[in-house]
This record gives sequence, structure tokens and C-alpha cells, in this order.
Amino acid sequence: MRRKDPKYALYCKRRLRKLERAKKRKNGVRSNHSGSLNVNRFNYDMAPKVYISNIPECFSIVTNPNETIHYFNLLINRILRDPSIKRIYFEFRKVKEMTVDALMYLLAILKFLQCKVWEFSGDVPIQNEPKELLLQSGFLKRITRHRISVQPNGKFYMSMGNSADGIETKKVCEFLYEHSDAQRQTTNFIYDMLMELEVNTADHAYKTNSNSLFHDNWLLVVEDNVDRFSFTFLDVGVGICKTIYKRWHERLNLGKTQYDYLLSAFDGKLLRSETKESHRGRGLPKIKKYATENRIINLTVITNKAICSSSDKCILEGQRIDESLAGAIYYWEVTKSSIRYEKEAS
Amino acid sequence: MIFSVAREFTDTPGPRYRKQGKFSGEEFRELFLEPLFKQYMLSGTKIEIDLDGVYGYPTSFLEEAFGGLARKHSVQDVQDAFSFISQEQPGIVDEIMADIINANAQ
Repeated sequence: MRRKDPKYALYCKRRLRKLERAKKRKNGVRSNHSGSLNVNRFNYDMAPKVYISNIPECFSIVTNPNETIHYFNLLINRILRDPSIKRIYFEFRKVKEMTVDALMYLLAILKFLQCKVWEFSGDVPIQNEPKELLLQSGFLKRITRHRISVQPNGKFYMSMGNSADGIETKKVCEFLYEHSDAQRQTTNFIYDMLMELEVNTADHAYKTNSNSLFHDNWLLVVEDNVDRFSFTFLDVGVGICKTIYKRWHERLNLGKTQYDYLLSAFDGKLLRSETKESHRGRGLPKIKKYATENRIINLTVITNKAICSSSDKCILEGQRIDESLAGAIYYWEVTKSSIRYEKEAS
Repeated sequence: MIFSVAREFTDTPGPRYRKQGKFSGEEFRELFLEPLFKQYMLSGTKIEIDLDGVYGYPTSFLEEAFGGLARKHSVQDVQDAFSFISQEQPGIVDEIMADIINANAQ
């Protein structure tokens, strides 16, 4: 008889197991190899966690580097180490002072971090000045698809990319012409500077062994401040100090600090480029030249554990910061009077 | 013979290498400077490069274009082949000359 056939009994046993599995699947209960059960329909343990992120009162990398960089490192660590965090709530309420550089870095974390954050929300500062900056800078427009009911005041120009893009840089120059009496002839050095900084980003973007936290990109914000333009350029790579080629004894870290390396990169006296080619690495010395010629003022560069800013005598001075910033931030100002185009009297 | 960068190539010069972005110094050298240099070597007619009409020249663009040409051929020949005009940025001419002279400097 068929029922007595051991093959048929085995078939029945398998069939029964298959039906049970299908039933469990339908009810949302699935067994895994370790024997524990996962509830398929709604697992409260696996529900996306909301991480409430308290923004520092003085949210500025340029004016409050230690606290702001500490905040960013904490945020990055939290995102990278806890994959269940898919939602972040940013508490801007208590912010009293804020600058574009910090907003740009936050934007880079949300857009270009290798580990993606899917949802974010938050409130706005109570104080008017930081609130205005948050709404007008273009930050919200870049992170949300929702329509924002803010009338732009046209004071900010934001741009981003991952290569050296002349067309995009040309648009920045055109923003300057719209907001001042500048002309192409008087803004050549700004174009040159921006392109050199973009080249630095493009340089490490195509390196496959890059151990950067971010997808390599650059971000730029130009702000029209009555009598001057403020430029903030963010390069979310590994940072200048980490890309400088170090000789074997320098790698032992004897005596030299990161700002020594940063200053040496600006001096361009030594073969400091990672490429080890003598004709390369001239971008930063050129920027220093523009600072000493007073064509750009208040130059500040922050990268890794170093901060470097130009003093009243146009000399670059270095300083150490407590925690390392991944990437590099360049801030400088250009007065409108210095780029005014005056037609020669014929 | 006059060659205008803005008219013949671009008004937005780019980075050093092609892989870094559009309108690079490498591209400019290969597409325009090399043929112009060959033309000079054959005819002996000096080429005037008009640098005006652009938004700016990135340092690495100039170095790769002119310094790169001098590295490939000879500093003296490149100096003899080209002369430069710029009313908008007179300082740029000295910069290019320095790039050519220091092309092989270590």
C-alpha cells in the first residue's frame, strides 16, 4: 500500500513542515537558524530609534571650534555605531549664535556621510539671528523635499559638487557681480582660489583607498554682508594634515604638531604634497599670498586638530584644537570696495 | 599668430588633470598647446596667447598646461614658441613664465 511506503511517509512529513512554515509566515512569525523568533509584522525592538541631538548654544566651528567639533564627532559616532538610528531630531531651540560653517558641516553629515540617516526633523532657534540664518542659508532647502514657506532674501549663495567645476564657480562669480560693482576682471583671484579648493576635493575623490567618513564633496556658501562677502568652503575629505606627506621620522610625531604641518603646507617651501611631485601643492601657498596681499581678509582654516588664521599683520598663525575635524573648512572675507570695477577714463 | 584661450577653449579654465574636472590644463595642453608648439617647430612663427576674457586661471591649470609642456619638450623651446598678452591680469604672464622656467625644478 502507498501509505506504508516509507518514501510516502517522508513526503508527508516534509509537506507538513512546509505547510507549518507557510502558516507561520502568514501569521508573521518566522524561525531563524539560531532558534529564536522574529516577529515579522511589527518588532518594537527593531523600530527606528529617534536620536535627539542637542545643538550647542554657540554653534560655530570658526568661533567655538572645540565644543562644535565635539558635538559633530559625537553625532557621527552615534550614527555610525548605532545602525538602528534612522531618525534624528535636531534641537536648535537653545542656539544663540550660529555661523554658516557649522550648518554646512551638519548638511555634509546628513547628505554625504557614508552611513545614511533616513529621516531628520527639528525645531528652529528662538533667537532671531540664528533663526534667520537657518531659514535663509539654503540649508533646509537642501535637506528636505517639502516646500518651505520662507521668502529668500537672496543674501546667500550655496553650491556643492565633487569635482572642480568651472561652470559652477562662474555662477558664484556672477552672484558677486549681482550684489556689488565687481566685474570679471576684479574677481579673477576668487575664481582661482575656489577652483584650487575644488581641485583638492577632486584630488582625493578619485582615490579608491580613501578612508574618509564622507563621500568626497565640497560645499560653498557665499554670504552678502553689506560691505563684504563672506566665503565658507567645506571640503569633506580626510583633511589637510592627514594628506600631507610625512617623512619617516615625522611620522613618529616628535615635536611637530598638526598646525606646524598646516603652516608648512601654506608656506609651500617643503615637498609636502601627498603626490611627492615638486610642481604640485601650489594652491595653498597662493591662498596665503592673497591673504598677505590683503585681497582676502580674516582667513581661517580649520582641519583635523589644527586651526590657522591670519592676524592683523596678515601672518598666518596656528593653534591646536582638542578634537579632530574630518575634512577642512576655509573661511575668508572679501570687501566689496576691493573688487569694485572702475572703468578707465578714456 | 594670436590664439585666444577664451574664444578657442573656454572662459572657465578648470583643474590640472582631466579626471579632476572639465576644461583641465592637461586637456588644454594636449588639444591646443601641443599642436601649436608643433606648428611653431615647423614654421618658426611665434604664437601669441591672449589670456583675457576668462573668469580666472587656477594655478594648477597654468602649471599643467605650460609647465607640463616645458617638462615634455624643453624650457627654452617653449619660451621661444610662445608669448603672452593679458590686459586684465598682467601678473599672470610672469606667473606662466615662472611655471615654464621652474618646470623641471626639484
